[in-house]
Amino acid sequence: MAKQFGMAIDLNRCIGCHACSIACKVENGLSVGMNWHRVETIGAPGAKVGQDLPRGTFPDLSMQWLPMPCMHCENPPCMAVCPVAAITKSAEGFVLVDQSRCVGCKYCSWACPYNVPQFSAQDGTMQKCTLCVQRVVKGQEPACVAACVYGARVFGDVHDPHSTVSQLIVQRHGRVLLPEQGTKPAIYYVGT
Amino acid sequence: MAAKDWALVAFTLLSQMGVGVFLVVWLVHLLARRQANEAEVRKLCSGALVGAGPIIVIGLLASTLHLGSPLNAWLALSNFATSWLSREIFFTLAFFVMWCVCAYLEWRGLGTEAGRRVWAGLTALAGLLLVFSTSMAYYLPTRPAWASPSTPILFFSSMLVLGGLAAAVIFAVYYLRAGKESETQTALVKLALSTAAVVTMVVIVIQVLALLIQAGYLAGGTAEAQAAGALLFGTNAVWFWLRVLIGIVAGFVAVALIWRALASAKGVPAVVTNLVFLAFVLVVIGEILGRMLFYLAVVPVSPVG
Repeated sequence: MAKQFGMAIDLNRCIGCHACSIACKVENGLSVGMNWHRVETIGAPGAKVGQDLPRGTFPDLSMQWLPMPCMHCENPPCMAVCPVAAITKSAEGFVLVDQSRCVGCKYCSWACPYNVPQFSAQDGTMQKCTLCVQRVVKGQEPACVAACVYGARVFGDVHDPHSTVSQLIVQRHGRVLLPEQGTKPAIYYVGT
Repeated sequence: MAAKDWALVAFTLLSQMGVGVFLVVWLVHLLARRQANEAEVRKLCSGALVGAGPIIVIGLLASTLHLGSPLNAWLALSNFATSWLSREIFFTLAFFVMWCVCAYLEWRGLGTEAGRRVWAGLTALAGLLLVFSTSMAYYLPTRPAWASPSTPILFFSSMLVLGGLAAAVIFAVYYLRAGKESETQTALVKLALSTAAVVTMVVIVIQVLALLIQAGYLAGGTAEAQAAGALLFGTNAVWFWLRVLIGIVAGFVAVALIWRALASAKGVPAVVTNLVFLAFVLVVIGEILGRMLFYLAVVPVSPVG
């Protein structure tokens, strides 16, 4: 089976510190307002974006975080719908945007169930998480994985049954987001 | 709604109007040939036929305003195999090129009439595929409010209602400037306007049914579909009811008056041309509001819930 780089994220270990998002911005030199990696708060229903509000009533309150890099899907809908064929999937499973071809129509962001591709008004093109391909080819982990203080992320080939990430996914019943969309994401979540 | 999204409103409405004009003129041409010779019918239809192309061109130019890097637009046919957006652009260009040939053949009277008719049929097919591709481009599983049968019904009905009345406007202008001079042309204009009026009335009824289908679909759909329903019938209720009152109720009444005036008079009464202009304006306003709501009242699926 072809290689598919991905990761498992342990939701029990994530404390919503956003270090992953910051590391992503620094590594990829992102401008203000551009976030290739975001951390969603699963808290109070109706809370505005960016508001970290718990759900429930005092003292029974709870709050959780959902780190959201690009899912680097096996069946990426962004790639299928892109009219200029600017989005490709590499042999290693990275879903990448070719900036020189992108027309900036934003259609990929409509088709992505995870709302990942973002429009850069500065460049007039769509941008998104590359899973730090520039680091991975040098044998390093993506910046978000390296920056996670709590070891909530394990990176590797999710198609290799012997890899640490695959074994973690099997042992801890890893799940993907919105499986009904049929995109087959390479980012798995473990923990509750 | 973002300013750039208005470019999509303009493109979808104008491309559908352009195809609709062509289809209605084609239909009028077929019907008119039963009661007049080819030269008379060509005189009636050539102006309206010419109208379809520029509408498409303006729509296509408007669509580029939505793009972040319009200089890459020439690559838009690269993903025809899987992208409905690529197919939409392909059929837009195909329709335009085929329309150019069609208009040239008709203008110069080249080839046989049967041959020109077949070419016009193929051009109409390209136009229908354009509108179908637009519908499918919005039929996204990530946007439950769009992934419903009401989307293609909405787009095809816009095509006919806008095209029918835009063609009627061109026929009315032709009548005021030249058509009055001959009895044959007056009879043909009357046939053309009656045809456009009947098509438009039927389609407005279909639009009402589409709205009912949409309301049922949104109410009984996923959480995102229900949220979209709340946006359509709650937050944006004023715009929704303005769209219904102006585009559907007032538009239908104006078109029905055109049809009635034509049916009860011998020629083309003066009031008819004024009603044609009024109906066109009402329906255009209604369609703009409807398309604006299409883009406003949509809620994407969310992994967060």
